[in-house]
Formats: sequence, structure tokens, C-alpha cells
Amino acid sequence: MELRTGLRKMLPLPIAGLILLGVFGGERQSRSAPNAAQQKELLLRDFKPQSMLHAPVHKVVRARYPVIDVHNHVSDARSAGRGHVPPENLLEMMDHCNIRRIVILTAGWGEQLQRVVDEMVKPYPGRFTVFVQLDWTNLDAPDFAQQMVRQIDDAVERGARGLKVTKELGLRVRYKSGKLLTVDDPRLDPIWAECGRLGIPVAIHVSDPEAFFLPFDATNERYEELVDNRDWSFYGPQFPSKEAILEARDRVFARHPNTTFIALHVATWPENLDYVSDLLDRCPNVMVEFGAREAELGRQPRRARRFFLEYQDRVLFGTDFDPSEEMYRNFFRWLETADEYFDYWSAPEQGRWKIYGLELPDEVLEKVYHRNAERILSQFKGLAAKQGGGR
Amino acid sequence: MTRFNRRQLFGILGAAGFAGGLGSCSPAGEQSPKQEPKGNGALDLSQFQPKSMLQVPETKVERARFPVIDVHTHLSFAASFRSGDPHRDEVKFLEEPQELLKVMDRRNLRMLVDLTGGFGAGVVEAIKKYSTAHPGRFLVFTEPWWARVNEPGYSLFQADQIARAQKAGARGLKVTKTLGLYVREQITSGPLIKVDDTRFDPMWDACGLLKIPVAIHTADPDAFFTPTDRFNERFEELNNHPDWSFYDKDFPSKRDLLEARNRVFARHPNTQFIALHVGNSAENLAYVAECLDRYPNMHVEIGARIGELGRQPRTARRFFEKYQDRILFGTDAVPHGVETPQQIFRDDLYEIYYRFLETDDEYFDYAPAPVPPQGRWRIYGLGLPDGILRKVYHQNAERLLGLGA
Repeated sequence: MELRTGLRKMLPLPIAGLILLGVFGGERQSRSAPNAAQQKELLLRDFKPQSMLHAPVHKVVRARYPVIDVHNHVSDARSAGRGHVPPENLLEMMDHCNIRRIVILTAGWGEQLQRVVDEMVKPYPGRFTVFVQLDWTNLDAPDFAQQMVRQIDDAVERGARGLKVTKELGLRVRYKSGKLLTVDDPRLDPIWAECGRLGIPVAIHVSDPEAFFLPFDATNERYEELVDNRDWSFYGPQFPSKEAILEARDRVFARHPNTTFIALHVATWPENLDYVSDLLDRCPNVMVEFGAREAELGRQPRRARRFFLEYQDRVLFGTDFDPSEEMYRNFFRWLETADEYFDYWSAPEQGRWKIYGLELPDEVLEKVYHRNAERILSQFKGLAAKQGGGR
Repeated sequence: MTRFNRRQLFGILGAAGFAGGLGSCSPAGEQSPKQEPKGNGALDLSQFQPKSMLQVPETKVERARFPVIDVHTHLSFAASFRSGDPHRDEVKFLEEPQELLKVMDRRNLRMLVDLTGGFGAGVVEAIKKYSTAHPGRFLVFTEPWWARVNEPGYSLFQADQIARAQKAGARGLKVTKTLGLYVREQITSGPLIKVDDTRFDPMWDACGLLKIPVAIHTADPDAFFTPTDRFNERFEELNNHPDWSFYDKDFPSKRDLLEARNRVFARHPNTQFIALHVGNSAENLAYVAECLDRYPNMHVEIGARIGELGRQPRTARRFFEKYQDRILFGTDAVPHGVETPQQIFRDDLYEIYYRFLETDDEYFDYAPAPVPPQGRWRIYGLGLPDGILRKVYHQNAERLLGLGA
């Protein structure tokens, strides 16, 4: 308010007033210079602007091609109390939207994983896939990697078809000494190598959006998301930088060329597609997936479309959201139409902006929706291959 | 080449300073009300200045690809109403031509059109100061003498004033949103005078006969006709300028205003109209297109609406392709403006307009301001081809203003 008053004083009042008002009206001028008492206060979190734009809306009820959602957590190992959806309901929804298969990444391991396999995978062939996870509890054990290899082998025998690595790696997993486990710690190498031998992909999420590594203040574009999820802020000396985490990850990719990696969330740097492009050029064993990054890609539709066209064999469809018809239809609209200025799914959670459709050509859609995922999942060799081939 | 960007480097360096702030945050339930604003995310909207993390191409366009005629500037203002004296007609000048020319030469601006040149003796003075002193670089429009609309014989007086101004060198008539939203039967009181009130017919006809265009601003953005509340996408702008809100009170609806304007277009087919601010329906280009199809004497100008056009770049580009002969470049620029950063006559304002029209850049600010002043969104360039750029930058204006190419 002081600034405004100050600025007004810099100009002769009549001119300032006329500028404010257009050109008309003496008494109205005084009203156009609001004082603090007249101004309404509004908190960011209460601001729900309704767009005045008359933009075309194209609803896409069913995906143009059958879809494999490679990034989901529905009815996973943690879903005993929440997030559990009866498979019959899920299948009905999937059929409405043309979702052929959902990959449940967080199926845990051991008996938990068995429970997910028994409920979701076995009764509905071709509709669900589960990935196994790592158990960091025994990190300090000398044979930690061998324990994990056994855990993965066991899970594959139970029906798992991939390994999921969460962002705890690189940000929070520590040795008992307090030392942070780096993503490229050589102790983990046997794990990555085992996945290559088994022919299962590693879906890996390390680091997070760039804004999570910056001060959580009024200049942070994901301010509201961080308010709601305080433990998502990785700003501060206790955390490595985003770049350090990604570079460690990329060294793992380079060190294990026979293992296929799915770098989730557009390799966790959709804000910088030049970087992701460079990564894909360097590492042919890497795929990317766009779960929960529709917002980032959709606000740069031209750059994103070029990326999709150039790397059409390397991009997988994933959502990372609770499955629902409306959620999937939002993603379809984004991929298939040229619609402008619409909400990404979960808006405005990730930032206050709107997105634009990519209007991908059919052949690219087909690859992204299912062909690329089919190719990766069909690399499966399993334990038989391992035993037959030896080391 | 390092992959660190400056932000992150600063972030790391500033980590120690921030630790204290983070430590003071406690779970929401334990927050005392006084500490709440920072700790509990109760950030005042006005304080929110998000910095984009996107790393997308940034094209700097310092000079327009072709010479530009900015048909919508305000270099002078009539002072009439402030005095309460309907016979005062002097104008105030906002900037010396020499100062304007410096920016113009740097930005490839061939010409500025000063729409608010005033009337009576004022407009003669404005013409002398700008267009006569610097031929080819400035043009001046005249304005109606609103303070006399309730005087007997106004219609003919006004038509005659237009003719006199034209003779003195005025090259068009500017009609502000005053008509329709401010001027009343007893000037500042009584019922609002309608845009298609027949007392103005001789004025419109005079412009047609004299072959000078009418630059007309009717109504305002859609959001100005809805309540100034938390659902209004231009809340901050309206909160800062409460009398820009035309919601409720005795104001006509936006559609009524535009339809009255359209009836004027229809009634005066030999008069050329430049509907400023994309006909004030940039939010609804389908409607603008419909109007352009219906009224061949209608043209549009883009001043202070690149925020609207740039958030729908595909629709906007199709609009430019289809109506490339009917769109004029304008900014609504005002020298030394202070409260509307999207309109301050400065080098950076023109760079933004050129970037919007010429490049395919994505997600950039439509105004040189820390917070987008006309709604919190960012825009996308149109990447127009040369043929359309030439028309929009100067050819269409030359045709309408009767300037030799």
C-alpha cells in the first residue's frame, strides 16, 4: 500500500488519476485509489479463479488405443485400510476407459506381495501387474544386496514383473552411522544387475520437482503443495542437491546397460526436457514415464510435443493417481486433443497454472499408450533364464 | 557445463538462513494464530510471486521484424471533467516527443497513434506537438466532447467538432468506455447514455464522410462484470481498482453493451471502426469472429490483451490467420504509467509484444511485472508468419489511416 501511494505521488494527481481511470470522471478518481481499509484480503489458498476463457472442450471418453498404466498404487501392499478398490469395480472402470492393464508398483515383498498377486493378478490375467520393492531395514548387513537379490527372486517367483525404487533412496535412506546411502552406492550394484538378468525393469523415482529443493516461501511455485506436504521439502543442508541425486542415478543407468530402467516422473526433471533428452540419448536402456507430471509437460506443450515425437519409443503412459474415469479422461484429453487452458488432474495442487493438449499423432499415441510398455514387460526372462545362463 | 542453475546455487548457499524458519514451523494444530500466516500456509495472495522452474527457450526480440505502427497509445489526456467545467478543452501531455522517439527508434516503431488527443483547442495543440512537429512518426485522434452531450444541438456540434479536428490534422476519433459505462444524461448523474444513442449518429457519419476511423472501446473484460470475490480470475486487479468493476449497480450487462456497439457498426457501414482490445471479447474469440463476419467495417486491435490471446495460442493463431487483414497492432501504452505495468510505454513492453507475435516461446510473462497484473497465468507465442506480421505490424493500419505505404 505504501508503495502504491508513493508511486502515485511521483505523478501529478490529475495525470495519475486519468491513467488509472482511462480518461473520465473526477469523483471516481478518488475511489480508484483504494486505501488499505477498502481492499479485501484474500489468502492464496482461498483463491479459486474461474476462467473466463471460452475455450473449446473435447471430452475423450475412451483412449484411442488400449492403455497400460505403468505407474499406479491402487490396492497395493499398503492398501489394507485405504486406497483399496475391489478389483471388480476397478475392471469395470478400466473397461469404460479402455485401460487394458494397471501396473501396481508398490506391492511390497514376501507375503504382502503374495496377497496383492492373489487378489489382483491371478484372477484377472492380463489386467494387473505388480512390482516388488526393496526393504532397507538391513542396509547395514554385509550381505544386504544378496538379501535383496533373494527378495527379488522370491517376488518374481510369486509373480512380480519389475522392481520399484522409491525416492527414499538418495534422500532419506541412511546407514546406522547416519551416512546417507547414495543412489550409486556400489553395494547396490548386484540388485540392478539381478533385474537385468531376470529381464525385469527397474521403475525408479529419485529426487523430486525442482521447487522442492528451494526455500519454501512466497516465491516457490509449489508453495501450496509444500504447505500441505511439509515432508516433501528437501531444501536444506541435510539433503543432497537435486542434481547430485540425478547424476548418481544416471551413473547407475550407465553402469548397468543390460538392465532396463523406467525413470519415473519424466526422469524427475520434466521442467528441463533438454536434460531428459540428453539422458535418453546417452542411455539406451532408459525409458521415461510421466505419472503426476501432466502439469509440467502440459504447461510447455510445444516443447513436450517435440519430446514425445523424438522419443516416441521411450515414453510410457503412467498416472500415479487413484484410478477413476475422470482421472484417465483428463490424461487422454491432454495427450489426444489440442484443447487449451484446462486443469491438469489434481489441479491446482502442483502449481497455479493450466495445461494444453499435446495432440499426439496416432502412431505416437499407440506406442505411448501400450506398445512401449508391452515391449519392456515382454523382456521378462525369469528365474529359469538365470539358472540356465549362470553367471 | 555445469547443470546447476543460479537458483539452486543460491538455494544451497542460503540453506543456513532458512533452517531457522523451517524450525519455527510446527504442525498446523499447534500454531498460534499470530504465527499462522507463515507457518500454516496462510499466504496472502498478494504476496505470492512464484518463480517458474521451467527451462524453456527464451527468445529476445528487441526490434520488430517489420516497422510497427502502434495504433493505441495515450500521449496526452483531456483535462475537462476534473474542473467540472464542460467548456474546458485543454490537454495535458505525458511525454516529450524526443523521449518517445528514442524508444521508437530502438524498437522499430515507425509511428505512435495518440488516441486521446482531446477536442477543441486541446486536440489542435496535441497535433502541433506530436504529428506536425514529427511527420510520419505520430498521429493524433480526437475525442467526443462528453461534457456537452446534454446541451441542445449537441449532435451537430459534435459532428462539426470532428470536422474541425480533422481539418486541423486529427486522423481518427477515439471513443472510450466512457460511452456506455460512465457518461450519463446529466453528465455525471442520471441514467447512463447508451452506446447506440441516436444523438451520436451524426458523429459516426462524419467520420465515415471524412474517411477517418473510429477507435472504440466498449465494455471491459468479462471478469469486470462478475463479483470481485475469490472466484474472480482478476481479483487482484479489481481489488486494486474497485471502480473498474461493473458488476451490479446500474451497469448494463457486457453483452448489452457489445450488442449496442454492434448496432452502431451496422447502422454506419461507411464508417470504419477499430474495436479496441480485440473488441473487448478476447476471452471469446468465437464471438469476435462472428462480429467480424457480420460487420465488414469492423477491425480489431490487440492492446492490453496479449494476456488473453496468449493463454489460448492455438485459437488465437487461427484467429490471426483468418482475420489477418482486420487486426491492428496496439499496446494501450502510456508514458510513465505506474499502476498498470501491462501498459507502460517502455522498451520492455514492446519486447514482450514482439515476442508474443513472432516466437513460439512458451510460458512467459505478458507484462513486465513481478505478478501478472491481469490474471495469474502466463502466455505462449503465436509464431506468426512474415506475411501476417507485416499486415498486423503496419499494413492494415496504413490502409485504415490512409497512409501511403
